[in-house]
Amino acid sequence: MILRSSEDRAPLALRSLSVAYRGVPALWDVSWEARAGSMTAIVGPNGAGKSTLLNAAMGALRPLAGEAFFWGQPFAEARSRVAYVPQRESVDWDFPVTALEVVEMGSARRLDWLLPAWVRRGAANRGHRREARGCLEELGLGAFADRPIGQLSGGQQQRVFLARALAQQADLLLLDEPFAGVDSETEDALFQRLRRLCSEGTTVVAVHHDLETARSRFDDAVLLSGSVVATGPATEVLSEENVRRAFAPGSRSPRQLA
Amino acid sequence: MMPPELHEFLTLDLMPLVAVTASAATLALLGSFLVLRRQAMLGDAMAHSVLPGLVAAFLVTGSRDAGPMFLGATAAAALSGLTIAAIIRHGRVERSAAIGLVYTTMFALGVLLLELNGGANVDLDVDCVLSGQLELMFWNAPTTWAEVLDASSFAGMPPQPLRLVGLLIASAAAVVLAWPLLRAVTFDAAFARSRGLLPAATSAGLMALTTLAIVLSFDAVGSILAIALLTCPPATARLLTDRMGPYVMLSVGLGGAAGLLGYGLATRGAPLLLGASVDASGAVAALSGLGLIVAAVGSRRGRSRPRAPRPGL
Repeated sequence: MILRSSEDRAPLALRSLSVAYRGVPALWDVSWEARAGSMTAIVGPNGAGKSTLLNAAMGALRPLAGEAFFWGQPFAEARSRVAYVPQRESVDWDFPVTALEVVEMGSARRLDWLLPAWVRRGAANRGHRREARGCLEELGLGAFADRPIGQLSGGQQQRVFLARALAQQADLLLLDEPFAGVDSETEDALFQRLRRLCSEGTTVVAVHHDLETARSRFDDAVLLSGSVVATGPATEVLSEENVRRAFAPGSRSPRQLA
Repeated sequence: MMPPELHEFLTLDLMPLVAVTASAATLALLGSFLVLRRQAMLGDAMAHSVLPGLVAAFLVTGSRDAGPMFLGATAAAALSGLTIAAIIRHGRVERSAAIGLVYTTMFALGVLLLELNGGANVDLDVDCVLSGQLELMFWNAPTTWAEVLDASSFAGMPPQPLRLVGLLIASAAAVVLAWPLLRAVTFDAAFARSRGLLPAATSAGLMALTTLAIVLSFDAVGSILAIALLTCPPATARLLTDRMGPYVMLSVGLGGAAGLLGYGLATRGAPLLLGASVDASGAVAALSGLGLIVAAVGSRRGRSRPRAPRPGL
């Protein structure tokens, strides 16, 4: 008998994952596996536990019960292969950094987190900088590399975050509302870029609020309302019947939790 | 022979000047991270809450030794932190309200402790806690050039300025060493955590260093100065630049300059203008606040800045 290598295992597998805030359940008994090389939308009303799902999977929140596996391993063992993009509103965009400096956080490895760039002038450091600039250019932000992020528009800020994720060269992207505040033209370009990543084997899991594009642009969907309403191919999961059930008042947990 | 003016300066002014400048620069350096995290209130709270710990340590040991004072202050800071967390958790009170509630109570407790024991202790009173005891830092300085070269003449230096200089060097080294880490953790803690960077431990380390700086400054230059310098120079620097490196360096520079100029103003300028010298730490704090006002009024950034539209607003 041949042991299955970790490559054969799902990039992300949740096993009966439950999370509670102060004793109030936010996510209940979620079991689901992401298909390698696919794009999955996590959809649901406010407080359905969409962001909670990503945070609990990465161990940023301690689950009440259940486990999350990345290629069969806990997150701590697999983090170098996972890129996480938090909600844009979760950071202070008035922060004094440039777009390029943010993207460089994506290409940084281990010892890169120590000593400022002017101390480390080695070839590796120049390589990182070139890589980071390349990621910005790829998303059409080459001209904005040295701008403070506070001067960028909402859509450009979102693209900076995605460029940082690209710079991580990860096999799994966990994106929290990556298209919030992005105009439709940019959204189109970003979807094409993500689709190309998928065709190269990368798996994309994105919290997404727009049902229309969730159906048309994603392969799979997880419809959440505290617990799982449906999982599977996006067009089937997001049927009117299922959506009505998930978004019906009273269907979710009593307290609104993001 | 050394000119008597120089000898007088070395004896009376050099040590306070070093103490106030090093303390101002250190507080401005560490405060620049508090301001970036929008936690200036927390630094303010720490500066107030350590008072009962300092007084208790003084009452127990009967001296102003840095060791017990730091232990007392750390205990008080930890107690405040835990109480704030407990109030937020169980009282379901807003964070800043909980901080405000705890630190004012702790400070009042400290003042009360001081007043109750005030008669017995000439070494620690309300005045010196609020504005420090710079005037006590005299150095039995050498009177001839030959003595300057003799190591033994440095042995009589008061310890506070040396400690503050040591802390400034250590803090600057820590910030330079961990620069990319600090930047990532301060900007985006959730992302940093996903990379395995321990943002909670990093900010705890930063907070411990800040508490140490507050305690050493408290002892040397008082609490008004500590609070003013944690917030004013960073806030001023933030108005003047959009880059993090220049921001932190400018903040340190502004803090150090406020220390130098404030001390000079209080001991040299004020006698000329007012006929008497004024409280040095008050002058330093006032100067750093004045810098902020000038920057806010004068900077183009303060007047009009392109701001990214926020979704949903």
